[in-house]
Amino acid sequence: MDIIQQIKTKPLAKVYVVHGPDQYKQDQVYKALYERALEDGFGDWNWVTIEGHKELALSELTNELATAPWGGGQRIIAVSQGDQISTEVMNNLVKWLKANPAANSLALFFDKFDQRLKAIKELLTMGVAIPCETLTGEGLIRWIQDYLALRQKSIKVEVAELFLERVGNDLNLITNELEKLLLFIGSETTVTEQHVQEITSFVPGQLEQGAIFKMVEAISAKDQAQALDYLHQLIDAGEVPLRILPLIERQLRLLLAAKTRGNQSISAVTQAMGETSDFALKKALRYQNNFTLEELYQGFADIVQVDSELKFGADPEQIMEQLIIKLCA
Amino acid sequence: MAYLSLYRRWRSQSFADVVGQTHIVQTLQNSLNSGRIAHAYLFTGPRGTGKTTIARLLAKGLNCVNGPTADFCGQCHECVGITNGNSLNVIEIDGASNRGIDEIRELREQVRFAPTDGRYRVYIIDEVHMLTTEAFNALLKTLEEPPARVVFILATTDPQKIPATILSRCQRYDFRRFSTEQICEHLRYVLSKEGVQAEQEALELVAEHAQGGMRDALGIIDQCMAYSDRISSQVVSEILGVAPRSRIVSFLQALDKQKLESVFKEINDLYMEGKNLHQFVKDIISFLRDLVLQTVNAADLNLSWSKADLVQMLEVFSQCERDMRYVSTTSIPLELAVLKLTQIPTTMSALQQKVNQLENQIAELAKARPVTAATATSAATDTTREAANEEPEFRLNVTRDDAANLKLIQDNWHRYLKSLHEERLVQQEAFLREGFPVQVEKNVLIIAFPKERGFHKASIEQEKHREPAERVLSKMLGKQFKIQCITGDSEQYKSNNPPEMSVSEETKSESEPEYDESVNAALRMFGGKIIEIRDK
Repeated sequence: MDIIQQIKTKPLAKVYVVHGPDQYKQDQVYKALYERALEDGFGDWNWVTIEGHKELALSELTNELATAPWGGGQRIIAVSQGDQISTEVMNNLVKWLKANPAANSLALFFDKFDQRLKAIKELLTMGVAIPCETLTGEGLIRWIQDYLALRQKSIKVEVAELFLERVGNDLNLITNELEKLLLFIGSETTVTEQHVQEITSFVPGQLEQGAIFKMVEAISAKDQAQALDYLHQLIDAGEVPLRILPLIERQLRLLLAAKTRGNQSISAVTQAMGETSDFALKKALRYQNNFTLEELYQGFADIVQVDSELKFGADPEQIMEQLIIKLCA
Repeated sequence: MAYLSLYRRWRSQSFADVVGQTHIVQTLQNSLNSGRIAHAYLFTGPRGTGKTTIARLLAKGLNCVNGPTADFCGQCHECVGITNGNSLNVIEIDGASNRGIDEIRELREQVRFAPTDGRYRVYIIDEVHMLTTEAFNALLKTLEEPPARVVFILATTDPQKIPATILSRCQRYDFRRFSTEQICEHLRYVLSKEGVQAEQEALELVAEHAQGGMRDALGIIDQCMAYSDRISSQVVSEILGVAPRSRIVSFLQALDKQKLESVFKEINDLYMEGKNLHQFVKDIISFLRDLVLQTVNAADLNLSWSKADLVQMLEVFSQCERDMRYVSTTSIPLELAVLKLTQIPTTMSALQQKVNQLENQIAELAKARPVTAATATSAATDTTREAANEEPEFRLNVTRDDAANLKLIQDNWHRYLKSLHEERLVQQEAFLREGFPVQVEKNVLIIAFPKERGFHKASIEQEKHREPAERVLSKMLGKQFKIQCITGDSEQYKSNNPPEMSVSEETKSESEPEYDESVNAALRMFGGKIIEIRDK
């Protein structure tokens, strides 16, 4: 981020408005400001942190902003959770800052940010806005490649995609997992698919998205061992069978639709099924011949039975295992 | 000296001793050797997979006098202190009993102090998922800005209960269950050091019941050692209250051979020996699962079941297992399950055998009566063919005898109409349903329509309708046939008393009075009876 360089080398702005959902980027700005405050050699005397909240009084902020810095350097007042500060205090703070141009540097951190507010608009004209938007897609993959390149390591796009499939797009989690990956590979220079599969954890949410869909695909392919493997991953991660079951049922419905669609177009069928895209049905078309209609109908009956038994306290792992064994038989 | 249980006595004291978890050991070793230490770790995984053990090894690696190093000495006062649990720099906290905000606040106060004589102050919080939300929030503050030289190691069996904010501050390591082989190997090592002999089958039984947890496996062995000097499968099964695998196999073999007497005797023996029948059924289910997944080969055990049979057996025993929860005499559901599987031929192989038998019989019948039984054969084999997605092969063998051919067509008229329906020629079927075959002249079939069905007759005479109907007819008779229609009473023909009429005369039927051409056309189109004709 260029702004980090600016904080490190250029004169400090009067106001920094740091906003956006990416906590990692916010942390980087916070860290850069903190290090800048320590530069004068007076420890953290020129660094003040205040937590924003509804009852925060204007005086708490203005007192700190008006206090002269130690040793002739610059004082930085970092205010977290800026969105929690009341509108009245915010408006008065803007007025105060206008009236006191020689005050210390103020860094306001916002998780949620409404640019339409008058006070925010005026703050932005006074200082520097630092957006911390979440990276996605190619940008995120490039970010990972750059991060590893700094450590003389490389990663292919498809391996980075596999990595993101497990970790998601939270940069804090990504850096933690990248650090772990770097430690795991040691002196090797390229991150491979095997490395990622061996050491990278599934973060909550990603596991459900990743493993559940792979599990239903394995069921469609009648790959019993693979489907059971994913089932155990899900259960070990605390996934509830009653949440897994509807996805298996959906897959059977897709297979049934694929088998019986006749001359109807894929999009017409997906629309009729209430699916949001054609993707799942197109995938199901590949596996439609793995099941007869009788097997699919029996599968629905088995799901209903399992649903009822789960609610009556059957061992969830055992009963889900058996369902998969039957479906893949 | 007080007795120290096996799992404590044989807890790994160096990274080299650790069984399995190579992905974690390798990463932590590299971390220690490179000095890239995270300030917070999260160790997750099922119980008994080495989370606390590896946390202590990490603490030793950090605080050893030679450290940070993966090859810590194990001799210095820090290493010894950590092994003995009295190091001032390694604080183990049970998250389950110190779960409130006050305990975490106290911890926050403590972390501000530098370590006494080690490099790092290591906080190991076990069962961290038990902390309250407030306690997690308080801990988050510390994790966000951790003091230098403080390392947190959070251990949990339920990572999904940890708030995302905490997760994103930790380097997470997922511990895996130990495989049966890994457990057996470690047990063999421990027992050899203890000077105790053990059967392989016994160790496998222990490993299966430990469900991937080394602590549980060593706990079972501890009990067995207190019971006997030699660990046999008999000893383990008595300790666990379960039947050894050999008994499960012999039970299933007897079931396979339908030796009901032996099966019931075995159930009774298990019951009388005080074995847990519920557990026995669970073990059977687990064993059948292994057979289905082919981790165990059924043929090696002289079991003749197919995969479909095994799946069905799994279902029956699972139902039995569920029923056992609600009865006081657990042998009854088991005996019923056995009866279900042996007395009634419900196994998939038995059903398949029956189907094959029936199919063979039908095929033989078809061979014996090729012409006259054509309809019957065709109808009987329809189901099989449809199941196999084949075209129905309904065919009549016509001869040179027109009268015989007519009889054949008349007998199979309904089948012909059905064929039209199957070919989706529903209009033709509807028109022809009103007519009746009355005569065959070489390759022409004459169909009579009642007078009031003129519309149907006129419709089928149209080329677009007639041609498809002729095509199906020709296919059925195996010879090109044309259709011609006449107006007439089919009953006359049925009584073998056809009216004097030739096909060529049909178009100007004598029975048709001399009406205006438009009236005739209307009659042909709609049928009906002329009552009065009015000029407009």
